[in-house]
Order: sequence, then structure tokens, then C-alpha cells
Amino acid sequence: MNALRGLLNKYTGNQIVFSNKYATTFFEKFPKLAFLNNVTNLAPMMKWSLSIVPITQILSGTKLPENIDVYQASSLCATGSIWTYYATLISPQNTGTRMLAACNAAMAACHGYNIYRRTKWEKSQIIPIENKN
Amino acid sequence: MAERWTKMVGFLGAAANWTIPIASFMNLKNDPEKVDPIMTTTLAVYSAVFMRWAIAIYPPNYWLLGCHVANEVAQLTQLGRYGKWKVFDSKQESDKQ
Repeated sequence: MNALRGLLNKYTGNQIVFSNKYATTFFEKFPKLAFLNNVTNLAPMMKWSLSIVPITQILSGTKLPENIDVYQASSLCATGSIWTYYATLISPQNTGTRMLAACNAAMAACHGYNIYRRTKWEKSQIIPIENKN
Repeated sequence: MAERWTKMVGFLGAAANWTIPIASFMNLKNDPEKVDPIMTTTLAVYSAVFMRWAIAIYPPNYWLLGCHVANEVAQLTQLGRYGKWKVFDSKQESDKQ
């Protein structure tokens, strides 16, 4: 564990994602993209992508109910629900905590809806026994 | 009392985070063709960023790092299985027809 900490020591407290000369040159050339090189900006964007991607798939119809992964949707829905509630408990209540709650609520909602779609599809697959009398 | 409850919910949230890699590992037994490459890629990128984030914060959160390393391994394995199926098995299936 100490060896691992030593290995990761240069990253601890360091929010810059890439520090090499190529990245430095690139972000000097495109300063508007520099905010992507800070992990405290990237992380919330990635968290939102866990809601935006499934919502996009629902709206565009590219994800059919039979392809929905119930394990994955359940774990993401449960995680989103708990962290939404957690965001309402912590202090201080500011824009950051409200965005945290909104992000996790969106994640819980869209994956919950996916579970509903999958369940509805499974029920529609049950073929009633034909009465052959 | 309120503080203990908040900590318990936080612990529950951290435990729930672990269900994501667990669910992904459980899905390794499914057919590769059922893998959703878009969502799997999203989860892989998400975990890569949060691996970095877990050690960028101070104090670093090594449990969160471990959780996202596990998820990263699971998602990349799924992408690998899907890619292999896409390149090899689906070609064989089309050859059979």
C-alpha cells in the first residue's frame, strides 16, 4: 500500500490531467479547451454523460428494450438514488450540492425508466396458453 | 445523530458504487453481441476520469480508485469481447448463410 501511495504521490492533489510538453503546447494554442485539462471539470461532465447517453438512446430509439442490461441499469439507478438523497443531507447546500443532486437524480430517473421499459417488454413476451379445445 | 445518519448514507452510496463493477463482471457471462458499445465506452471513459479524480482530491480516496479500476477492467473486457465478436464471429455467421 505504501508503494502504491508512493507511485501515485505525484498525482495526489494534482488536478491537471496532462502535464507533458505536447499537452502544454496544445492547450496554449487552444486556451478555450484548457478547462478540459482539469479533472474537477472533467469528472462532472463524465457523470452527466451517464445520464445523457441513455436519454439520447431512449429518445432516438436506438436502444431496444430487449438490449437493456437490467444489472447495469439497476446498479446505476440505485447509485443515483442514494447519492441524490446524500446530496440533500450534506452541508453547505449550495450550487455544487444542488448540481450533484440533479445529476444523480437524472441518472436514477433515466436508468429507472430503462428498467421499466425492459420489464414491460418482458411481460409482452409472455404468450398466453392457447385454448385448443 | 444527524451526522451519523449522513455518514451512513455516504457509506451506503460508496457501497452502491461497487455494484457497478459487480454488475459489469456478472455480465461477462452474457453473449458478446448483447454488449452495448456506446454505453460500455461511456462507462469506460467515466471510470478512467474518476480514477484520476480519486487521487487528484486531497486526501486521496483509494477505495474509490479501486472501485473505478475494477469497473475499468470490467468495461474494457466487455469492449474487447464485443470487438472480437464483431470482427470474427459475425463474419463466420455471415459466411454460414
